[in-house]
Amino acid sequence: MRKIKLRIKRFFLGSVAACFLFTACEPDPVKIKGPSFHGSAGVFILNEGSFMGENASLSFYDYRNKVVFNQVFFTANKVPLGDVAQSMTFCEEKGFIVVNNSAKIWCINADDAIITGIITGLESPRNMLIVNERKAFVSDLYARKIYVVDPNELVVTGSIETDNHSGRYHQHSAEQMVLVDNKIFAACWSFDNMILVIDEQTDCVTDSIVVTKQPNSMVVDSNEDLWILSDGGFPGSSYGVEIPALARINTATYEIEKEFRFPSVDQSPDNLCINNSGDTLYFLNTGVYKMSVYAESLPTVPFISTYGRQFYSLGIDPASSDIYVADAVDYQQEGIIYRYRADLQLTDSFRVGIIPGDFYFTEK
Amino acid sequence: MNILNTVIKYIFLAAAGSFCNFILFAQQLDDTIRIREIEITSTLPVEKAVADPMEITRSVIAQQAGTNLTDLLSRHSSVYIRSTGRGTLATAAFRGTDGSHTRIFWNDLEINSAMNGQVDLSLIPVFCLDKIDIYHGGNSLACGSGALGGTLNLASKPDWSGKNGFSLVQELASFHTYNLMFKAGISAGKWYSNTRLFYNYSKNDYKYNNGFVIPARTARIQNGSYNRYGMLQELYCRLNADNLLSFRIWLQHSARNLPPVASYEGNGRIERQDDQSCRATVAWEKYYSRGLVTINSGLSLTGLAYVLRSEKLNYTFYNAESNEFGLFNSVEHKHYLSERTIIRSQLRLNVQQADMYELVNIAGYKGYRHVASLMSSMYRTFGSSTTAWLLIRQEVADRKMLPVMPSAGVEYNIPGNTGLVIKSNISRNFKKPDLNDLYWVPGGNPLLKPEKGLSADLSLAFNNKLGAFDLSLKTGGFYANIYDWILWKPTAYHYWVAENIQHVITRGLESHLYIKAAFSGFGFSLSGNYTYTRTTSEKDDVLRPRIDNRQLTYIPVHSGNGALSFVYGDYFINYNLEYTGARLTQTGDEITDYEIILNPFLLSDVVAGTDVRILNQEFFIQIAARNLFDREYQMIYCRPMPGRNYSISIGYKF
Repeated sequence: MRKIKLRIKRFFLGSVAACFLFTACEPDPVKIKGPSFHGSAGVFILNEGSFMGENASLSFYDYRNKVVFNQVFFTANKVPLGDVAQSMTFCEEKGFIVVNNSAKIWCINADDAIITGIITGLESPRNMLIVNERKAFVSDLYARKIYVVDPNELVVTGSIETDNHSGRYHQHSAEQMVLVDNKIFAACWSFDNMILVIDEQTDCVTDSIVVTKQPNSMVVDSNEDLWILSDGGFPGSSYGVEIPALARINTATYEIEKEFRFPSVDQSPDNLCINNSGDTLYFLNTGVYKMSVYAESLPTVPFISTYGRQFYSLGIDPASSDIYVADAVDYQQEGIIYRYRADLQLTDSFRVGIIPGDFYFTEK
Repeated sequence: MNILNTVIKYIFLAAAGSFCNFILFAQQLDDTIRIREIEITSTLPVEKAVADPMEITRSVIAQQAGTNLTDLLSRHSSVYIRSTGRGTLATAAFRGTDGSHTRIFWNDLEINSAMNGQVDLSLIPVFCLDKIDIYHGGNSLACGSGALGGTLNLASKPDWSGKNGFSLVQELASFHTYNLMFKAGISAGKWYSNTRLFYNYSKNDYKYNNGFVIPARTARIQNGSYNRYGMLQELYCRLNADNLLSFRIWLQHSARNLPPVASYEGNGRIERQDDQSCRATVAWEKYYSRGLVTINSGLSLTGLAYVLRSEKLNYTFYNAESNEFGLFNSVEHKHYLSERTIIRSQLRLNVQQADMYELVNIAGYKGYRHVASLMSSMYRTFGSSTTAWLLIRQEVADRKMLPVMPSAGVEYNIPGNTGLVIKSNISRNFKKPDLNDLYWVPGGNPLLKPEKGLSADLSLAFNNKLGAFDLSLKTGGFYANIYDWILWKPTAYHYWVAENIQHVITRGLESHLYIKAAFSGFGFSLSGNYTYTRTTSEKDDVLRPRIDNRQLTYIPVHSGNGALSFVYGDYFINYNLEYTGARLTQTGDEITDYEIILNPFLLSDVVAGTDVRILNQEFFIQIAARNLFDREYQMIYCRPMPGRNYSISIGYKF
């Protein structure tokens, strides 16, 4: 632990010059070279930053050498990441960071975080799903459509209309998307209760599935079943509120095969994740919960309790099944990442950026 | 405790007596002119000791008439302004507190929003003001409750010189900014009417260095234009030397576009906010041989419409409207028991209603607030050098009795014609939760407790004449403990909830200097303010103990301003400096090396002007260069402020 702290401290000291540039309004004469991650095994941690705060950032944790690199994006590029970094995904050596309120997607080199391009012309991008080297989908909170982009040329090539013309609640703005057998399942989370099914070849909405209100996250298990976690909305919402639910959907028939209701309408589960073997689910419901995909009921006791911490996001290392849980603290300061082994032993904890919200593991 | 109860009882008995006096005097209205008594009441030394406000002079207000209150206060007071940009939301904060801890009165009408407790200073044109008094800390309890930081009293005043006066001012400024101001003061016997009309437009497209995109480039503020127009009509009637009736109505409309964050590279959103307000007051002031009775009734109607939409998609993402209605009534009685003793009582009865509705996501609330506030105070001079006062305020809000809010102080003039005065004040104040805190959906919390502030001041002032120079120097320390500070706290449910979370201690030093001299035809003045503020959170977290001495966000430890002014005949030139120290932008249990800290900045302004007579007509011209050295700075992170900019005003008056 002391060793990690020393290394973190050393890196922090090395980053001081970068910080001065970051805070200064005037050109800084200090030359800054970005840290290289080439060959590193680790996890990118995307820190959302606060809304309108322009303080999103990218961190990298090299878990073999137990070194944390903070402000990776700024150090490498001398430009802040932007306002509300929503999600991140990779396509071989390219990393894509979706910055929601800056309405753009940065394309970076996965080895050194150097910017290689940018996708603009969006409204309020949320998530990016890469189908292949020439095709990706970008969900959007405001556009009421899913953009089709070329991740190689970094241009918008088309869009899929998702508007239900209700005139209310921006339905259906898509959020998270997963790909199963050439079908895209897109969760419509905001004031909505729909999973849209999109043909990846024709870019058309072919079907839809009604689920519990506000489906916020999805995973596909080893049986190619789709698991959907819905938070049910919030008390006082004019859209109404339901008891949150975890549902399993057959991706061939679109039938809801199982639905587990949470104990109370006051709960708000989210961040559904799955391990690499596709047989164990994890999610946040204040604490971290774990359940088998074959379980007949929801777990009643948290796998990891909060003890006053503000758990905000969750990541499962596909290689080791280590659990990374992010504490946003007060949402105004650097968050803390707690790394647990699958046997619940806390192995590391370290500071990253403000509101750590997404993880991407470089080794599969 | 018994002693405290006895004192409170005595004060309230005095208040009751005071109101009885008022009723008796109200029944004895007559035409007797008692000019001599009026003069005495206005110059009693005990009166000065009551609240000790800092006043912004009329000449400064006149020179800044084309600006809004944000610019004026940041350059000429110790009030700290938080602004998200030119023409956009700006709030005033005292002594390390929040914008909602500052109460603002316009001619005794409280203009803080009942919904969020704040006043957007960018919407208040200096042109409509004649007098600004600034009350710091516990002194503000004399005006009302809830001002844990301080109070601003804004007022318009009649001119009883008997002359008619008209002025028309046209101002052209950088960033395609145009101001037109018209003022007509008409005297007719016992009547005085003052009409002010104003129009203000700015494209507000100033350049800045955008380092938030790649490649870094010089950019212009997008979607930042605004226009405002309005009128203020005042009508005063001196029924006789003892009775003054006044009527004021202030109508204003503001439409402004809100620029996106500097890193935005989307399709181009339109974000717009329209504010409309109608505020009116009717006041009756009754002077009598040993005091003054004031009855004031005011009405406030405000509306705000906010829209976020995409022209490209022809779709509105967010469309919110809010409306506030307020009825404010007060009766105040000031009675001179003797030349050494004053009792002052005040009763306020306020009713407020607010509703907010968002049309796209169909959410909103309606909230009410009823407040009865009774204040009674006594001021007494002992011997030739000491004045002490005690003030008690008791308030009932929404049928709940708030704890007693007392304030006590003493002023001691060091004998020997030294010009030295020591002042001290302690007080307890409460601020009620705002309606958004109570009822916002989601996250409003009806169970919130009022925020409690305990504060103390100690200052030393020096006022004297040294040769041709009038010198005034005041320096003092303040300390305030604020409990149950309301913050919006994130929850596991992904929305934020208002809670009484924080215990904050704020302490510091404030210094004010004013030197003035006049020689034959030549005038000189130098003024300055310096504030040292340390504001820290004192509440431990269970898992993450607080770090000592961590300054709260966006509060500079050091800030100050200065103004140097020369006048020769009809010519004047002013040089103003404004300094704001470094500010943290995030909280933290640990101070990290890579966090964002906003740089300190020093701004300089020069304003020069003169009166000109052409063909027996009187004109004046004023030229200003602001941010003279073109400093790049930000009040709020990623919200670049304008560089060097100019204005020229030409006025005609008769």
